[in-house]
Amino acid sequence: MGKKYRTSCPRNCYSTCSLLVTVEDGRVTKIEGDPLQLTTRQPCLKGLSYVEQVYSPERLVYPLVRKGQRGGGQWEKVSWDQALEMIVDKLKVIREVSGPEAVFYYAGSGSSGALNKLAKAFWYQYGGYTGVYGDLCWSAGLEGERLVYGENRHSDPQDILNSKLLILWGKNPSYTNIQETRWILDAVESGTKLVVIDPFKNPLAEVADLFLQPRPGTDGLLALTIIQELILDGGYDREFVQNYCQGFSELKAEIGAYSLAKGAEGTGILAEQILALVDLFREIKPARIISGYGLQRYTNGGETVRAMALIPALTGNIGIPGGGWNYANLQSSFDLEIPLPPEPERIRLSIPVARMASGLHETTDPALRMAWIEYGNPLVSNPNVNKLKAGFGKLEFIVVVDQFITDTAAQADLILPAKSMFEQTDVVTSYWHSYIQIRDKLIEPYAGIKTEPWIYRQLALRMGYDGHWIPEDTEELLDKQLRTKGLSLEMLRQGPVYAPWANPVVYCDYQFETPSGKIQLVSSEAEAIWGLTRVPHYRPPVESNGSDERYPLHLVTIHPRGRIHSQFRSNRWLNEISQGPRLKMNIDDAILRSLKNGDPIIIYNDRGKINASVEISWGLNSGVVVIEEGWWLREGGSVDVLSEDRITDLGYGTAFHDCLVEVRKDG
Amino acid sequence: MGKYYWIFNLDRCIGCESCVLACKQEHNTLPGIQYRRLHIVNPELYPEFPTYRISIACNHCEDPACLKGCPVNAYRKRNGIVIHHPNECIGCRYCLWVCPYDAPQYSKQKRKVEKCDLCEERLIRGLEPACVSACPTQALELVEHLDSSIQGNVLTSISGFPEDETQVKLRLKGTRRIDGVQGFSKRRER
Repeated sequence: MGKKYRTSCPRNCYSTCSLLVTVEDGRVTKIEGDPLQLTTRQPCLKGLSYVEQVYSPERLVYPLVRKGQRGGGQWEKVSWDQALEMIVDKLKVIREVSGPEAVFYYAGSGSSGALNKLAKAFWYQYGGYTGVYGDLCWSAGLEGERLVYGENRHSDPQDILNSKLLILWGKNPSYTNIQETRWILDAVESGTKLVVIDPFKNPLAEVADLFLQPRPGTDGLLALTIIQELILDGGYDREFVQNYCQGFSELKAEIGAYSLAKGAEGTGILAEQILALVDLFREIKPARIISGYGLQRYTNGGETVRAMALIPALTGNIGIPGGGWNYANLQSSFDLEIPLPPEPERIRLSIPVARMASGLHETTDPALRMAWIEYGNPLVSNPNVNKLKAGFGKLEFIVVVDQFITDTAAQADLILPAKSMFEQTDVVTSYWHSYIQIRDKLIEPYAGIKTEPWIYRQLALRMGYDGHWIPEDTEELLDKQLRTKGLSLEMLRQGPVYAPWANPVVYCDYQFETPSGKIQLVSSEAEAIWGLTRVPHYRPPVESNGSDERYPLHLVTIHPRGRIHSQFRSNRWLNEISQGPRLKMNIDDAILRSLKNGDPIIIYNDRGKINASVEISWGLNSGVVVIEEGWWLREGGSVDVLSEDRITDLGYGTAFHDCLVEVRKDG
Repeated sequence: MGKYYWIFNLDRCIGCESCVLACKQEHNTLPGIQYRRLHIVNPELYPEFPTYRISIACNHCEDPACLKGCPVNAYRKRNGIVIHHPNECIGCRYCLWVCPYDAPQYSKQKRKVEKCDLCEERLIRGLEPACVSACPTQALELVEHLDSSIQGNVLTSISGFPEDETQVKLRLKGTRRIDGVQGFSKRRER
């Protein structure tokens, strides 16, 4: 029968589900939801397919060294001793000749856990490295939100049930956060009004009371148009603004630059629909805006989120049950302090991750010679893939740690197999609910696979470093650190722990960690740190419809339902139901290019081209095309072959969605 | 009347396919075999028709076409569940032709038909079928009886669905997606 154990899913995903895992004879045989974790009682299709994932015949079980040309697909199996010696040899020579900064160290978001930080215990002792700063995903919005509220927090997911008006803005939880849809649907059934704002008609738009389809990258303009209506035509909460907001008169003075007519024209939304939304904000309370993580991936993304975040404040929806602003909830995040050796001076964090493709080419003095890549697959998931690949091509030695031979690993000189989530105990937190959870070791590493901390410990010992910073017993280390917060591994094994310092309804004390202690309708930090205006303003994306007539289609790359970015490609269960890369295209755009449903196509721009098939859809407007991301080269190519490596206005984020393309039939 | 009815809420299904994967995992079916599958009606989102998602496995019909059409009596009913007996199956696939809901699945590897058994073993242990317990939105339910509170609010068919010739034990509810074909819904005058 086997025994059931509790663990949690460490993927880069809102839900961070608690899972019950059946282990029989040392093998994971079944995944179920955890009845104790009300928020995520049912895992998604990916979570249910881990049984297939862990024992995939494609999983790497021993180190591989490149044979022949780089990227040629020829590998030689080597022992761990040989692999580690090869790395130590390279590291010593590079540091001696060029300095530690000639090593580029990159960790993606593929698997979360406090122990990931142990990598630094090695690299610090190495004397430094070149690394990235900023983020591929949400950081523009995090900063936009922080400038307004001082923190990144939102109320419990279940608080959606208390909302009378829900604005699902640029988020499609039916793909990316399925557990949230339950609360939304429950609310809708009990009479809550649902508004969906999305360039694509997602499954919840079909049950919405109002559906607005802005042009990609114009969400900030929509927000400012709404604010303009609320302020100049009445409907904002005067008392709330007076008590808890700072900068209203300055905002009011500048908001006249926007008007309903300009907003309608710029966003492509009918004026009467914008007014319908404004009316809902005027009439219904508590109202909650639930923002997604797509609308900040534009060059104007930070200001978009800053403008959107003002609406719940202006309408007095902050600090009350059912009201609020949901972007990121970092309440369960806490710094599980992993002790590290002293930080060396020669850490060069010179490359914004958004601009990694250019950074690899441009970095000099010393130029980069080696790369170490773990928990990530940048040649699928980072922008401007072709340029990035050329950048990697200049390096003399690339080490990739992964469970599978990804597109990135395929370009490596040495691949080290990585553990799965069931093979080492760690602690994970969420950016949606407020629970701290264990990701427990349930099986011995499959086929002799080693964990990342083991790899770093062995390297450290071979380099003659102090091994105690990367202890053999990582559970003891975790437990010791948890106890400083009043927690323990044993406690987490009993079930997810609601962070003791978290609030089910945030800001109910109306204390804000901002310079003024109030909600910042205007921000001097925006000016001082980011060189922007104190009042958030709309600037069109650098690359969007009309900016380059050769490429008339705006490409929006949405998160897939059956993958987390490029992960799960090697999962046969999921591949059974996958339809492959399909570009959703409006009928008018298809007719213009003589395309019919299912036609093989090439999507291209100056940066490269990829293969897909066309799916004609009435769910999007002409001039906009939508494709799921995460596809590998063998499937048609990463969608980020097409995106430029651009940085966002705030927070050093990545402007993936400033992306124009053209499409033609293949063959 | 037999036990067990599927109740499927069209409004609550978001097409996540957790049910499909939970079924796959529970029965550990061979590649390409899925007892439960997601169907999308109008996936193109053509604006004058509703779009909805419907997850279908065997409907364990009162008058099952598979059972009537099987030349070797490989299908029998037990406690309201239409059970397929692989030992008797000769792989002729008549049942695939007659089932209006494409429930029986033919395995080339086994040269036999397989299908949903309503997770009979789980039911005996007091558990819901794997698909029902995996549904994150409670769009899919299994009830033992159709009491009056359910009966008044459900349909046995919607447009595009087969005529109910087999006394299907699937009931549909939720019409918001179907009624809401206004596309840009409920425009408001000011």
